[in-house]
Amino acid sequence: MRSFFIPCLTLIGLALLGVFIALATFQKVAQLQLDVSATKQEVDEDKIQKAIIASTLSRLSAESRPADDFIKEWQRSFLTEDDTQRILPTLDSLAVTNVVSSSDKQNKADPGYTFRNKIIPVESVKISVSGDYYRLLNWLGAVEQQFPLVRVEAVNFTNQNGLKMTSTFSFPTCFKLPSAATP
Amino acid sequence: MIRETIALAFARSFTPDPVDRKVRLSDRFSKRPLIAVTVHENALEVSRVTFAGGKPTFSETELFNFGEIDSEAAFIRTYAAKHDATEVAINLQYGFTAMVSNRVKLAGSRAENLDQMLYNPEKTIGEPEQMRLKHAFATHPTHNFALRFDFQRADLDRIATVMAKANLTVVHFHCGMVDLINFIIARHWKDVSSETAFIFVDTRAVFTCLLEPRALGQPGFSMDTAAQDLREDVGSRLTEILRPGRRVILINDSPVDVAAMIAERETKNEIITPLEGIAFPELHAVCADIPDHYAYDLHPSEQRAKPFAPRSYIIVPALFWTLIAASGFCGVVNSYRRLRAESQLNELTRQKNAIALDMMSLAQQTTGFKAKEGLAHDLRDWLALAPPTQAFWVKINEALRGDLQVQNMSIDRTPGQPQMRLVITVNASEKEANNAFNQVSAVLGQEGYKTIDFKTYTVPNGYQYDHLLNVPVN
Repeated sequence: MRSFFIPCLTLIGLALLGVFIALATFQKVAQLQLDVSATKQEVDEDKIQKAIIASTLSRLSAESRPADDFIKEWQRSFLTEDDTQRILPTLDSLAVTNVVSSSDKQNKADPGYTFRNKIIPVESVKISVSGDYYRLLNWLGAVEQQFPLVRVEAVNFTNQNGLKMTSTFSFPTCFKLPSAATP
Repeated sequence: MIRETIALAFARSFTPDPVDRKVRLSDRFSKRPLIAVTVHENALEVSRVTFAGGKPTFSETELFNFGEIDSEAAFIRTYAAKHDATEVAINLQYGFTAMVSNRVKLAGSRAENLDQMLYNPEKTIGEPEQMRLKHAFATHPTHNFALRFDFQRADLDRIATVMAKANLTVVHFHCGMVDLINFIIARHWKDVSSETAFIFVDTRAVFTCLLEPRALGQPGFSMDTAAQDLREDVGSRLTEILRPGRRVILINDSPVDVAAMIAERETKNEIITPLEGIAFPELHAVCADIPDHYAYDLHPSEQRAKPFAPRSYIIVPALFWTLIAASGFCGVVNSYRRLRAESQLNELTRQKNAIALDMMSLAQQTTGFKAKEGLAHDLRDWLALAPPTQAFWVKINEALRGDLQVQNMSIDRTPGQPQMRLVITVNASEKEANNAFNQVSAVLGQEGYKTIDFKTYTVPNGYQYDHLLNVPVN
C-alpha cells in the first residue's frame, strides 16, 4: 500500500497543477476581457469625439465659404516660384505693347519682407521705363492689371533728357492655397 | 515510480498480478485467458478455464500421452497459443505421499500462510523441512490434524521446466486431491458425521480417507491406475474403508458405478455426492481456489508479484481524471473565450485606428480651413495695403495742371505699412507752386489720405512738396 503513496501524491499533484493552469488561464482571459471592455469604452469615446470634430468641421466649412469664394476670386493671381521667372519678360512685353522703353531692370527675392509684423516672401523688381507720361501711366496700369497683387513700393518720375519712370514693385509669392483645404 | 503512476492513473494498478497467489484465481483471471493442465504420471490433460461468477468452467479437455522429450511442451504451447493464453494453472495428480500429521500449525490468513510456507515452512510443518520435498495440507477445520502431502521437488522442477519451455507462466500449482479434500472441508463439512468415508474416484485414481469431527483418518490411494484395473482397485479401497452404517461422501468421475458397488456390499451406507454433475471435480476444486484460511503453492521457486492498489484507492484516479477533465473543459472554454476576446479586441483596435485616421483627416481639414481663413485674412490685408497707383497718378496729374513745370515726382511707400511719402518738385513761382500743392493736398484729402507730416521746401528754380501720408485702408 505504501508503494502507491507517491504515485497517488503525483497524480493528485498533477491534477492540482491542471486546475492551477486552468485558473491561471481563466484569470488571463478575464484580464483580456477587461482590456476589451476598456478598448470598447475608448472606441465609444473616440466616436463621440469624432462626431464633435465632424460637426465642428461642418460648421467651419460653412463659415469659411465666403473666405473660400474670396480666395477663389484671387487664386488666379497667386504667383508660384516659376511665375517669378516670367515677371520681367512680362513687364518688357507690356512696355513694348504700351510703346515705352524699359531699362535698368533688377529683380531679387526678398524672403524677409515684413508685412504687418509678418514675414512675407516677395519678389522685388525695380525697372525704369521711358516715354510719354500717359504711355508710362498706361504701362503702370497694365502692370497693375496683369499682376493684381503687386504692391507698388515706389515710383519716381524724373524729367531729364526725356521723362523716365523708375518703379519698384513687390510681387508676393507667399499666397498659396492650403493643400488640406482644397475642396 | 513513473510506471506505477501511469498504471494507477489508468486504473491498471487495481488488477492483481497474475502470479499474486494471495489473490484468488478467479479474481486474477476474470478477464484474462487461462489454461489448466492436469499432470498425470504418463500423460497430461489441458483445457481452457473461464470464470463466471467466481466459479470455473472448463472447455473440452485434450489428452496428451508423454512421448518424445519436450513433445509435451510443444503440445501445451500450441494449445496455449490457440487460446491466446500465457499463463497456466497446474493440477498435479501424481507423485505424492500422504500421511496424517498433528504438528501442522497454520498462520492467521491466506497471505500469511503463503509467506510462511515460502520463507519459513518449518513453522507450518512443525518439523524441519526436507530440502527435496514440498508440502501441501488438508487441515481439519476444528482440531489440530492435517493430511500432509509431500511432493518431490525434482518432479515439481521438471513440470515447471516443461511449462517454461511452453512459454507459459505458472500462476497456480496445486494438487487436485489436496484441493478436493479442502473443498469438502470448506463447503461440505456439515455433511460429515461421526465417521464419514471420503471416496474420490476418477479414470486413473482412487483416493479414500476417513473424516471425523475430531480427527482425520489415514488416507489410502492409488494413482495412474490402468482402466481395466480401476474397478478392482475401487473394490479393494471400498473394502478398506466401508463399515456398516458409515456415511460416504462420494465423488465419482469415472465410468465405474461406485455407488452401485457400495450398495452391493449391503453395509447400508448413506451416500452423499456433493459435486454431482460437475465435470473434472478435482480440477474444479483446484481452480475454485476457495479456502479463505489456508493456501499453498507447489511452484518450486519464488515468483515475485507486483503489488496492486487497494480498491479504496480508486478515488485517486477518479479524482485525477475528474480534475483533468474539469481542467480540460475549462481550458476549452477559456480558449474559446480568449479567441473571442482577442477577435473583439482586434476588431475594436481596427475601429480605433480607423477612427484615429478619420480624426487625423478631420483635424487636417480643420487646419486647412483655418489656414484658408488665415490666407483670406492676409490677402485682404495685403490688398488693402497695395491699392493700384495708376488712378492716383492720374488724379495727381489733374491737380498739377497749369503753367508749372514738374521736375521730379515720386511716391515712396513704407514697406509693409500703410504709409506713403509723396514728393513733387516743380519749377514755378511761389504762388503757382502753392496753388498746385494745395490742389494736390485737396485731392489727397478727397481720396481719404491722412496727413502725418507735411513740408514744402524751396529748391533751386522752384519748390518741393513733401507729404507723408497714411493710406486709407478699407
